[in-house]
Amino acid sequence: MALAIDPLIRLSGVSKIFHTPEVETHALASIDLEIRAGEYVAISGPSGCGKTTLLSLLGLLDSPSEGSYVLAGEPVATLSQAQRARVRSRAIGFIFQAFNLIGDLTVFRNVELPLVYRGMPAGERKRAVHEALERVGLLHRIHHYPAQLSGGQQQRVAVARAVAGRPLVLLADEPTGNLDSRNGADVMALLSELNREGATLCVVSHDPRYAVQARRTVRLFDGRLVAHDPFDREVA
Amino acid sequence: MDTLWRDLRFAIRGLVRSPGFTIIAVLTLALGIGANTAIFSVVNAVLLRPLSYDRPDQLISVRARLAGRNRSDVPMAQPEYQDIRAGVPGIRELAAVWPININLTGLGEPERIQAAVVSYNYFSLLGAAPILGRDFTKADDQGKIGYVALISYDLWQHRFGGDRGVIGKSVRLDDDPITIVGVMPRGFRHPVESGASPMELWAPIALDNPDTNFVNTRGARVFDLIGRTEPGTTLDGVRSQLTALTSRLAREYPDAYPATLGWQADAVPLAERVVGNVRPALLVLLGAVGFVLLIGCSNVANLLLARATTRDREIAIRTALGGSRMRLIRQLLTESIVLATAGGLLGLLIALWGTSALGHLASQYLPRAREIGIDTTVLGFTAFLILLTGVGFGLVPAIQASRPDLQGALKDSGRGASAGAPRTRVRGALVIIEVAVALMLLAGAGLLLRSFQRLISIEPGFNPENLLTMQVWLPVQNDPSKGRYFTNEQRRAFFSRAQEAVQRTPGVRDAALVSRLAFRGRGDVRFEIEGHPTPPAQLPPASDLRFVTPNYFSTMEIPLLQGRSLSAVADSLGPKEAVINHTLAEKYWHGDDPVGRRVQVFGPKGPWVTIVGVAGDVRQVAPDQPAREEIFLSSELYPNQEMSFVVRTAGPPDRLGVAVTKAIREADPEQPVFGIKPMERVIADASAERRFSLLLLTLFASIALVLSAIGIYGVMAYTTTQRRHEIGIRVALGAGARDVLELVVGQGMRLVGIGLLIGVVGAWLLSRVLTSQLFGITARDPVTYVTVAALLAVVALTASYLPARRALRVDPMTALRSE
Repeated sequence: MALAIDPLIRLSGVSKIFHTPEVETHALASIDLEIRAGEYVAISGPSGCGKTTLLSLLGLLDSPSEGSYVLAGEPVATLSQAQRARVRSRAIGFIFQAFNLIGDLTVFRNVELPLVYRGMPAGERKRAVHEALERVGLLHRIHHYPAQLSGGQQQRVAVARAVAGRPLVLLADEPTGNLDSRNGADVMALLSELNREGATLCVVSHDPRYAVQARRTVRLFDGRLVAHDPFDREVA
Repeated sequence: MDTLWRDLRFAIRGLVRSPGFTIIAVLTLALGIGANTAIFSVVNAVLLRPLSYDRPDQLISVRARLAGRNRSDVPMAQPEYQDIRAGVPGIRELAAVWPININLTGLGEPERIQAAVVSYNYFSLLGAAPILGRDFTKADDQGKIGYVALISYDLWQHRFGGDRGVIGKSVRLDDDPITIVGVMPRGFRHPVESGASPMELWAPIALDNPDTNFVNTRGARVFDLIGRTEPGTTLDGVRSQLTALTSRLAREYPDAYPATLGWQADAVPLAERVVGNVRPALLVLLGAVGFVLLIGCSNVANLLLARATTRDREIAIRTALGGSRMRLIRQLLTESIVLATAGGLLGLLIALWGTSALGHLASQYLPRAREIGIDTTVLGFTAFLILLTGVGFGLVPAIQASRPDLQGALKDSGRGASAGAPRTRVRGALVIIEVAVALMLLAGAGLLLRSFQRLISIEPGFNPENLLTMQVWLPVQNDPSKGRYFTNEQRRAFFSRAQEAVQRTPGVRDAALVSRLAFRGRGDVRFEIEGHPTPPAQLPPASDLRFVTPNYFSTMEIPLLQGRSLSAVADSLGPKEAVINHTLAEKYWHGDDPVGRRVQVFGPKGPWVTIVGVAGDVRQVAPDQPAREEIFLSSELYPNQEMSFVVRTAGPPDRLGVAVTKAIREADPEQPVFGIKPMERVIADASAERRFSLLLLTLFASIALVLSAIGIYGVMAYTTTQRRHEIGIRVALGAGARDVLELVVGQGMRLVGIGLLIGVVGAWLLSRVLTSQLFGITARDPVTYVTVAALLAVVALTASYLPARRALRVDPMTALRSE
């Protein structure tokens, strides 16, 4: 899953400023961050510290106001919307707190969606979707609709959707926020397992139980990086 | 009552608070209700409202069918009038009417007016009486022909200035003096008259005086008979008695009623005869305008559904506070009815304008067009529409809104399914209905349009550009031998002087005369071909007959295919020549040259005339009727009483009307010149009914198209707003601009596609009703269907594309922000 480009992600002097007529909000300021392929990084910090903004920049949902962003050796900070969409569909897998499955689509169609946007042929898509669902243990639910699944199952489908295209990096935003502790633990175990298998993982979480599972924790406060956990930890 | 008042106030306050929504909804409804009210006012005046005569349900029209000649609605002869009076007990009273037009002189400017020669009981049978002077009496029918007259209110006003001393005044009708004995009330109309030329004078014909009766043969079928049935006698009873009379007359007068003629007297309600054949066209228009209202209601229902989503919270609070579902539905329906009432009142204003426009537009061909207006029936219909539409477009949104599915809503937001799916489905269904109905209307309008295009692209056989036409009818006195234009020489001299005067008029290139203009009916003549006598048991061949001046063909620019035109004739001794048309030449000479051959016209004792030329075919009967066989004889040799001038002008023909009239009057200052029209308008008038239907159906289809586009746009804009989060997710997962456009436009076009499919099937099934109004295409013309479907699809695509462009601006961050 990971490429031999090191680091996989490099943010240098990245800032994000939101402008409104009355006020300028500095959501992120001078962020320097490197994430290596195969790493499992937790981003933590109090509410409003810029975690989600950082994740949106990493996921190319937004572009930085200043600074550079190099993903897999390619500068991506100044790409157009269409170019960012193309990179997203190929290189990034998203896992959202609210699962964000599309209610009108079956589990198969939901998982298939990023592969469709990538332009993958139908046969390959089917194979990839089956593999991903098998990986998360939900192949038997392939024809169900999201509303017919439990919260934990829905998040596992969301994980399958994120990994089906074998992206360079998985970005998860509070993946356990809408789950009970048992389902939350299951999903985090699944993510750890994916990381062990080589996936690069970047998880926003304010739950310390799951933050400690990461090899490295990046702490944010008022839009600035305040500390790096110097120790890489192997996940049990 | 208190609750209703509270609901009403709340509804009005709510609508005032949402002015955008209220204005669009009210305008949409006003358009729909206004158009429906206007068309209904026409249907009401023409089809529903009883005739404005005394006990109109007892009035019948008696006419005949000639099965042997495939003709119906044939007028009756004077002896038949007497036979029916004497031999049909179910008819209590019978009046005879012979509509004519006649020269009115002795009042300054001579005028050709529409008049009727009637039996003395005509007015009393209809229950009408003069407002000034007296009605006709039995003595008038026993006296001389037409020596007294009753005049219409309008004629009294515009020719006598409403002078009450008009009674006893004398005017001249076709040079005969006639004394005015009465004035009919304002608004009295002859039952069967054209709006363009209302009846202005009535005179008794002295039917009971055999000495003065000059139409007493059974072949002179000129009378419309209006009867009043005996109370208690059914129409079927009268018909049976007429059938018995028919058999008796056929036995008594075998020469007048040969079996081959198939003469059969018949009766229909007078109202049915008045309406004629416009009923199907009016019902089609009523149906079409009903469709427009349906589309309008769908749009307003869509608006209400969209509005309901913004009121979920308000409704949830009301429910939580104990408001029952019925109570909520009632309140929401009150809002709909308030909207519909506002739309209805504005619609009524539109209808007031519309009925006046329709009355004007339809006056050329629609019976009772002058009666079109808003009356209590129309107001009742509008009130019914307001109630129907108020409940119709309000009920589904009210039921939907009153059923807050909280659990479902929570599931929707929690699990990423599309929010408000049931409402979206209802809105989708409404779009499908709108598209289907719009397509049906467009298909109807398209069929009429293509049909009309074909009609006007037909070459009439002559050049109608820069051609002015007008008519002259020389007077025929009651004692014709005393008339100024009794002899051929007198008529020839007048027309020759008049033609020369017209030809001298500046701006006139040429002027010719013809006994009957194109599209003004037909006149049959029987003829024999020399060397090919008709076998005794058969009827001789028939042809249309026209008397023309030698320069008629060159003036009209009708090509002469063989031979030459008629010779100029100075007196009755000129050569007896004929020009025939191509159809006649082909039918009887089969490609051989008919020039030099002879035919006998006007019966076995008639003259033999030599064919000197073959002219190109002209569509003489109607633009949509093929050319018939036709013989042209010299009007100089046989000068007719009635002739039309065809004047080829150097410029626009309208401008020369006055000058040409003046030139004709040089030949006789007492001679009215009437029917002054460019030939292009004569042709247009011949398709006035088609034009009326086409214009209205196109108008309705255009409204339907615009409303559908608004409806599709509204639904797609709403759905796009509803799906912002989903679109955000898709963009986050890598959807590009094209993917988003495809998603939104695709959703809209799927609905449109279903609507188009249903619409095509519906239009296909309904197309039969238009068959009688089509020309040159079938009611299932595939080109029309494909074209209108494509047009609607393009409009729908545009209406879907605009919201789709907005969807492109959805920030993928919405996928994260919802958390």
